[in-house]
Amino acid sequence: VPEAVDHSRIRPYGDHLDDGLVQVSFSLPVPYALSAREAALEIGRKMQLEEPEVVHYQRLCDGYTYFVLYGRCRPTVDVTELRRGAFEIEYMSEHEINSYVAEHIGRPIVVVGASTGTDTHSVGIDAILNMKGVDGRHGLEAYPGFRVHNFGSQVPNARLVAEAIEVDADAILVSQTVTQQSLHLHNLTELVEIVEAEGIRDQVLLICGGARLSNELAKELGYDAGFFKGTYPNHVGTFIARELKARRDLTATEASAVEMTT
Amino acid sequence: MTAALLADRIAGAARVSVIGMAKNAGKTRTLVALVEELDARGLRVGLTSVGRDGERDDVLDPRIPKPPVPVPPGGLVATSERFLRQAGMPYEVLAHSGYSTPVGNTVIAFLPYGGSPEIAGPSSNAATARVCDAMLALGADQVIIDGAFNRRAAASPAVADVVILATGATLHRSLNEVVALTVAAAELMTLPKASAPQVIEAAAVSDGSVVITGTGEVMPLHRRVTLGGVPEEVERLFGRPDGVSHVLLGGALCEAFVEEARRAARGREVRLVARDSSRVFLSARSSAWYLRQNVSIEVLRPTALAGLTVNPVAPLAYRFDSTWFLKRMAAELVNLPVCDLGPHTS
Repeated sequence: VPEAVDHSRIRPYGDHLDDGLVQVSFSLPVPYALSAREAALEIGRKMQLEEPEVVHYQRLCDGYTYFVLYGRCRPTVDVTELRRGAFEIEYMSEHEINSYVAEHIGRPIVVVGASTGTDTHSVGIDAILNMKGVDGRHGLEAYPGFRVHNFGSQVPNARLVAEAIEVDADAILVSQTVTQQSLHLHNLTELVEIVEAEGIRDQVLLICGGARLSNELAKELGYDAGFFKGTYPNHVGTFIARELKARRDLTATEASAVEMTT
Repeated sequence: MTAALLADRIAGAARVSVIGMAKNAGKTRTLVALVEELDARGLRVGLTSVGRDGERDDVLDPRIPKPPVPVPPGGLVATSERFLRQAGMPYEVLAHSGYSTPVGNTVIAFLPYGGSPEIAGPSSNAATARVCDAMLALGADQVIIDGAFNRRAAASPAVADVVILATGATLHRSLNEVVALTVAAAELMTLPKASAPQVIEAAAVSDGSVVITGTGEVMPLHRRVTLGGVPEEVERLFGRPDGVSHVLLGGALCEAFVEEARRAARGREVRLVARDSSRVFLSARSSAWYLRQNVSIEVLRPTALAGLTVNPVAPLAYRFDSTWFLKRMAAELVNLPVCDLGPHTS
């Protein structure tokens, strides 16, 4: 099948390739009635879905109805364009990551993590780092290719940096429940600044995670990657392993200003 | 003061950092005015950002409009190739830096006809310094480094020859508070240069943190003490019979350590020396406050603060009167040129 796919113009499919079939589900604040079904179809049309079809609808409670719609989506996306020169990682499984680390790094990768500053929410960092992991997938602690130090929540930035230097960490993971109040963000930037002040910025990968984070925000904050809702330990593990290898290769070729310009 | 005067102040400096007090403090506006002025003077500019700049939507609040950063014809930029393509102007990649960022790998590109691509260079100081050197070697007369959020690392003399600080109404609803915060930040950036010969001597031989005792003995100081906040050890340190003449920090000087040193010294003089001001982290108290408590903070390499720009508008919220804001800032910071490079969008 993959040979037949034109990656410069992909669209969703259901029954056969390129048919554009999508399923959307939503609720409307209207009573469970025939007119509700009409309203849902109209929403589908306004979403530019071709041939919208209500395949399921049910009463939620008085005055509210839930819908499942099928429809065809015409626009396409050029994935090759998105991949070129962009931040891209193809996720590996737990097993693949461990073999990759054994082959390319040759020792376990040392990771420290915490919820820093005043943040008490350790659920995110625990899901990624703790043995138990999340949703049936192991956390990095369970990977033979990783040595994990999880310092829990409310860890001052300076202390986390001191610990990272102490254990010679390859990566520092911080979890923040980011809100519009920039206090949380200031806490994230402070960690970057302390790491830079201690002169180890180029020796560690800085990774932040949180419900409202994105790679764009991570870039502004000065991190090497930002992870968000829907992230599993192997996603983070893949990034750390691949990026460490890439940076080793870069140091090996001694990329310098002189070389850049010649 | 206008962009012309600001450009005069940075004339001859190869690397200029624009550092903000916060997000939406007016860094981009400062950058745009500066780039325009340098171009008018016939200088070829190079641009990089430790964060992102020239983006269409604010990363936190998409309702806040962001000004584009027009790169003049013949200018150089360090950014991800993806942004160059998206901007839809002709460009020539002169060098691949090899540095990866969460938005792609950084390349150095030449824009023959100019354009307004989003700018996102490497984030770290070492990588930024190398990219700046490369742009200067490739023909840029002046390189401007755009900061991000409240990050100050790019103000380090290791990266920038001169620094422009951008402050704005967005910092606090009260003008008094904005003025106080900005004065504290400016004071921090202009901490005096350490001149004691024993400090210069110790700095020449050690990269790490050291304590210089009253009798001139130099002892290493563990990172656990300077970063970890171990009050007992700081207490023991300052309780030495021969006293402590100076503490020279190899890395970060954190407020917890400054505070513990102040307490342990019990009113005696404490002299702390950091490598440069970007490594000093004070938030609860200002350096002036600590000086009044007999705790002096000096740096080995001072930062050249060339000017301050103010943005009287807090996006989607409120605005101060520009003239009054400027007047208040100028009254507090007498030796520093202060200007508003508006117009600002609210």
